[in-house]
Amino acid sequence: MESPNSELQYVRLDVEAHLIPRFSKIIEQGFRLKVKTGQSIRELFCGQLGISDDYFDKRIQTIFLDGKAVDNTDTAWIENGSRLAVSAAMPGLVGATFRKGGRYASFRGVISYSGSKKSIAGGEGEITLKFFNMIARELGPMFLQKGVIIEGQSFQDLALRNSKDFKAACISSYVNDKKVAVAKLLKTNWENKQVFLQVTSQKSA
Amino acid sequence: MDKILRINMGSDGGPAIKTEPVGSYAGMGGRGLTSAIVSKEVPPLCHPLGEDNKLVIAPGMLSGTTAAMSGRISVGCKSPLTGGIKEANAGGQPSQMIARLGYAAIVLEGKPKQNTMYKIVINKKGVKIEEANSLCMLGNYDTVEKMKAEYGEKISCISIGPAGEMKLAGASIACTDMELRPTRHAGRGGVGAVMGAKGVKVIVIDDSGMKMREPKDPEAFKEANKEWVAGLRKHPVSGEGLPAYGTNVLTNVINEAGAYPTKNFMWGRFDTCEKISGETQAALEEERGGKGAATHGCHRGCIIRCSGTFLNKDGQYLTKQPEYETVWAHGGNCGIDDIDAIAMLDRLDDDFGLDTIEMGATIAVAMEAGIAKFGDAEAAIKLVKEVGQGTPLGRILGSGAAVTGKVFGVERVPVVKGQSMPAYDPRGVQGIGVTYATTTMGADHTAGYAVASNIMGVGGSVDPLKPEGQIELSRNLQIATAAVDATGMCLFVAFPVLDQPETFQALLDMINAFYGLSLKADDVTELGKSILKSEREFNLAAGLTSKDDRLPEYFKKEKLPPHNITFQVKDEDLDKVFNW
Repeated sequence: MESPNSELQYVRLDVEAHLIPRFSKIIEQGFRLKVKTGQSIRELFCGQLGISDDYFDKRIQTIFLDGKAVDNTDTAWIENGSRLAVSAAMPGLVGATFRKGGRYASFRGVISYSGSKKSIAGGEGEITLKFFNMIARELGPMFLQKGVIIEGQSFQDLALRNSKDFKAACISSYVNDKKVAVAKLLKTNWENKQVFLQVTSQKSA
Repeated sequence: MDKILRINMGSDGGPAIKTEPVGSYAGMGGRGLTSAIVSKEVPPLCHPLGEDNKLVIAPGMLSGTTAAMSGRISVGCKSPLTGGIKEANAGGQPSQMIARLGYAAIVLEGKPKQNTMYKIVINKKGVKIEEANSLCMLGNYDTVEKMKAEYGEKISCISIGPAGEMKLAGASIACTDMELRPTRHAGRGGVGAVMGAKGVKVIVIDDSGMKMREPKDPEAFKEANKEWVAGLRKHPVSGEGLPAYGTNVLTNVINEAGAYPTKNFMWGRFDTCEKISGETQAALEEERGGKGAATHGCHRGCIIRCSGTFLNKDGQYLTKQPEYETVWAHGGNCGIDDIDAIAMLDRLDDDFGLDTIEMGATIAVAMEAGIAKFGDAEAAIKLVKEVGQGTPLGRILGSGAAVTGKVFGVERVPVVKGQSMPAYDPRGVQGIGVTYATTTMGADHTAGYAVASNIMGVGGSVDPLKPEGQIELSRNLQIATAAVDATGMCLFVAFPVLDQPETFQALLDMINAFYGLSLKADDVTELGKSILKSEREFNLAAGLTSKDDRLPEYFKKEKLPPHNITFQVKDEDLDKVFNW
């Protein structure tokens, strides 16, 4: 993952492993990542992000690019500012309808991603990425360990909602590479700030 | 299941019980049987609350056996909400117990001559009916508690709450779950009002001393069930997603697609949907109730376990895990993002005996009318309580979204045939709009839910990316769903069946081994078609026409953000759905 830039507040938490799932809310709400633009969704996941082809093809069944359901991940292109959401297979007729290349794709034809020709110049950009359900559970810890950019408000909401657990399970915390007490971290007003958040557990640190 | 229990509630001298052989209805179950009886025996032009309507309660074909997931029960009648035929189904314990007692159906006929409420007790010794006016206007929870105190904990109950007694068109019929709580509802179409009109408050079922139904070929049945269970367990939807998060796992996905009806179908996205998502809900349930609190079955033999237990902030039981449709109806559709308030609304609906989809949609219409503000959870709770109390406003709301829209002069009323739409905006998912418009049931997502239609061989091959395929796919789905509804199987079995041909074969093998048949996929298609045909004929005779197979006009005119699209399927194409 990219290093945080100077405008970001760099927050690193070392927590007991059981606290990690509490951060899935951040992964679900969406986080930002620096990425190469002009690449396909498959190239992003299986190249830059290091996800295996097998996991990408079998486990990730539903993908939205800027709110449009994607059928072909080789011809859906990442732009600066793209919003990408991924999910495992979902229940219900509509869950089946949104599967990539699924049998019921015509049911949502009007909101399917239709781009097919690569017309986006390669470069650097930032995208918003959201992981839902099993994908958040399985890929979330890896992304948290590498670091994600989020709104300070999201961090504050999460920390305050779980403040008791935070105090109990947070082994150490750092802000901009300086060690700070968890209590102080929780008292800080994170509103209107950008946070580069890294979360590691004892197990993964 | 070789007999039908008929109770004439309007007989001179009080309700008259008659048990008769299943006769020409032999081999039918679930929706197949309810729709067959209603279409054959109920005059299509009768008043839904009158003496000529019948309430038919039928276990599925495999209910009462050891087949996993076979505990759905179907309830059929002429609907007071749609004016057409209705089948609403539910999970819970009653289906298995009624089937083990040997009844293919319970049919409530006639109408009490006096204003008396009754309870019906069915056990291996027979059937007893007693006056039960002391239960009048009790909620489903209190009613079940009283039955438990009187008949013990080995029973199951089918009951109505105050909404059913008031004969409100949004009234449901409650079935008890494994913990003997009235949490599983045949919700749609006002079936609870018909039970209320029959003067039946509760049916108590006790299958003590009865055995599992015996298959004709026990070995083949056992093998097929083993294969069936393995198929359900290995699939990522039935084996992982649903157990972990329940149906509410759909919230984030449908919202991201921009097809999540928000604030009475005005927007396709709800900004704070993550506060009420399945992921959030499951985490909260486990935080309060411990590991496993978000994974629970609704009946014995359920291995998908898409439900859970919702405890309040003080750690006390409040309700079962509210499912996606409920969380949406009372949540995003009303602009409410407080999961505790939504759980309270679910509890109130279950207790008063109300369809959560209809009530959520109705409150959203009321909010648009200015009765309350969007997002005001306390006001929503107060409105549902008014329904339970039977105030004039409550009776209007309990009559559903269509009536409420008329009373308060709201144009944006999301109903088809008078029944509220579920949690998918048909402008975003246009194919489901085809099903909403054309199903015999009024707007109903489950009418075309059996996504396994391809494996089941219904309708042949359709190009999934071809727009015109929507009509054909909707038709195929409705046919397949009608057939699955006849088996008593939970519709969630459709996902492993969709992806795993061997799992569909296992289902067919189970039916064949149980009944000594040699059904093939084509026979399943024919079964689905015959059910739909009889339902369509009933509706036509009841006065419903192709003009009723339409979405409300505003869906064609109002663009739905964020994609800014309207419903584009042409009327003439909707009329082709039932051309086969």
